[in-house]
Amino acid sequence: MSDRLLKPIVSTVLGWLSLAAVATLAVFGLFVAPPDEVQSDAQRLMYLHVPSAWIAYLAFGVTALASALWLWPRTRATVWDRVAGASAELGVIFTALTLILGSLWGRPVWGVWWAWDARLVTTAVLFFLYLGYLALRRIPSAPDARAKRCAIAALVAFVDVPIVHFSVNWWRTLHQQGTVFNQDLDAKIHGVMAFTLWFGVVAFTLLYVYLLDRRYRLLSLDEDREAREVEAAIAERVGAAPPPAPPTPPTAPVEVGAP
Amino acid sequence: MQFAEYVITGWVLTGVVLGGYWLWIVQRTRRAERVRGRE
Repeated sequence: MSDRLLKPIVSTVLGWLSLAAVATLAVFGLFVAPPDEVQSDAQRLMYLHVPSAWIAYLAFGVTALASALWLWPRTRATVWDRVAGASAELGVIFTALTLILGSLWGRPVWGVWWAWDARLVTTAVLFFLYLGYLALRRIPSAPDARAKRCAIAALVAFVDVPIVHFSVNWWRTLHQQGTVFNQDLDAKIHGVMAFTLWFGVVAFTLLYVYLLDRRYRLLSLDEDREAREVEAAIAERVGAAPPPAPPTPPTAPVEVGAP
Repeated sequence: MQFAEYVITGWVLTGVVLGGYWLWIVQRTRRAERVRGRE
């Protein structure tokens, strides 16, 4: 089994492409895009907040899909368990960024760092659910047993993703409805601002794929090392054990009730 | 720039988090490859 998702040359090109895309995003997000009429320059945080939230959805979606592929006997393979683990870690990082960037935006625009709003609370729940998933992955056990319980946990945790997404439609609290993917599918953003937002989504997607490949490789190296260490420990124990006793000669059957 | 402290903090924090995570992966991968090479 390969310990890489992408060929090294593809990974390298993707890494440089991601870096260039994120640098371009910074130029557009900080200097080229005009300030918003209502939110002023605080809007510039949205060029990171929205792509981060998109990547969190994507990452948890990939985790759920890989987990389902592991659980289905026909497609069961270690690669899916590793993809699920690597993607969940990225999802947790991007969810944390989404919450922090949202909080930094909320202070000047809403006047508060945090509100007990449906979108905010369900996103925080999502963060803690997948933090729990990552903790579950670290509990030592047989690889297949661990993969099975983690795959089930990932599928259960994924239920919160559509709840997060539709929370702004189901409960009318502080968080505004979707700017692009709203109920009418009528984007409320145009021109350079729309371009920067979409470019951010593309840049972060490239970065996600690159980081997923790198994290998968590290996970493979670590798990292979752990497997070798277990094999070496077993071999050492077997070697140190006393030699097995010689086989005992078969005994003659004893009749029941014989004197 | 209005609200510069919030905007710059957000952008710098994102760069530090993602850059730090990438650096952590690269260093751990190199170490793991070195260990495998020694075995």
